[in-house]
Amino acid sequence: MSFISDINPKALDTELFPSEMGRGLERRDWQKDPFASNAFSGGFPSHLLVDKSEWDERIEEMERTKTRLSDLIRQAGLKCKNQARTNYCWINAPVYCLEASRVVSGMPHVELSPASVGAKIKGFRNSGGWGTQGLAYMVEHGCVPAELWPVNAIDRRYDTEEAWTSAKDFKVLEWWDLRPRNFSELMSCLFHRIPVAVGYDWWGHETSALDPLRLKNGGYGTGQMNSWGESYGDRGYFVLNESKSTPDDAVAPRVAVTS
Amino acid sequence: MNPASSRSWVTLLAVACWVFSLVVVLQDAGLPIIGGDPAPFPADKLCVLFVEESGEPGDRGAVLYSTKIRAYITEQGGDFRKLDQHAVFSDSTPQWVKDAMDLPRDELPWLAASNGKSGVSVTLPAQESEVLAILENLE
Repeated sequence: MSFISDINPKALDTELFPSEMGRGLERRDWQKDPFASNAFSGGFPSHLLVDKSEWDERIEEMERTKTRLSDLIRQAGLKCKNQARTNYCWINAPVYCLEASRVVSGMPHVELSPASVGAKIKGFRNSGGWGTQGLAYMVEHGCVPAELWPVNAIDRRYDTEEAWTSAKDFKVLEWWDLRPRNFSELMSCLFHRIPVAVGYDWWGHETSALDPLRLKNGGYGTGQMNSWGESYGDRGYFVLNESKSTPDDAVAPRVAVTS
Repeated sequence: MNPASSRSWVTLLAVACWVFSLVVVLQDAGLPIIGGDPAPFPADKLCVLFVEESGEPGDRGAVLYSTKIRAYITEQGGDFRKLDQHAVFSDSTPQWVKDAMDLPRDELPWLAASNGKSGVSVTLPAQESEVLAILENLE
């Protein structure tokens, strides 16, 4: 499994940046896109913050009972995404979180197309962005299933009325915006089994945080899913320590249309 | 009617009264009648709905997200949903989900289960084993 921390920077040169894979995170423009300013988005509610004194016990219970998001996702057979050479990490992560949220809720797995949302937002250019942009679009329009729009196709041929009619079944209804650089809010979401699309300015990349972890070195961290295919880490799953896990832009889709 | 037949009828009536009383007592105690309730919603297989306020599972997280319970339902060829109390449906939402969501709820998280013959609609038990016992004992 890939493990990324402050003390093994060599990993940053090798595992973290395979040259054949795209990234694509742009720094969120906080002037144009202020905190918790989008439709159906509030800031993470303070009454749901899990006190740090409870973290160890909760992590132990989730691991013992196999009720972490990664356990549920593996049970449902959901695989990680593969953005290939596109610069669409910023939309792969929110779409993966939506897929994860759906299977955790017992809905049938439908593979969704990150490119359908990313291409519409970026005018069919292979351009970077940030997760909040993608999630805001999915609240209004949904996301097209991959059977109607291939996952990495930045191609106007798939931009059809049929595709967007189908996308309405895959809307996000409610989501939380997490305060920037706030590890406690990230951990609290994961304790509540809500996946979080996390953007890292230091990495220029966005991934999907799934599990709160206690690391062997004594610190905390998160288990995450990348969008670089199954060959990365443990079938796409890797670990970041607290300092690397702490996100800049972070959005948590918590309610989706039921199917 | 001969005396033996008369005694049988009296015995049967007594048993029926005892069962009825037991059901009333259990219901008053707020306990689920395992396998004893009629189906709370129509279903053609084991269908299980968990209702919560998303992100606020309270102390029921290990039950709401139990992989054992989910595996059991799947092994039975059943279906489950864990939904927010304000869930919005689409055209592809199964009818059983809509019916189960229409059931009255006293609190959250809530459990509604049916196999078409019997079922429950109760506050979600605190233990995984209790939920499994309920599901395994549906008639």
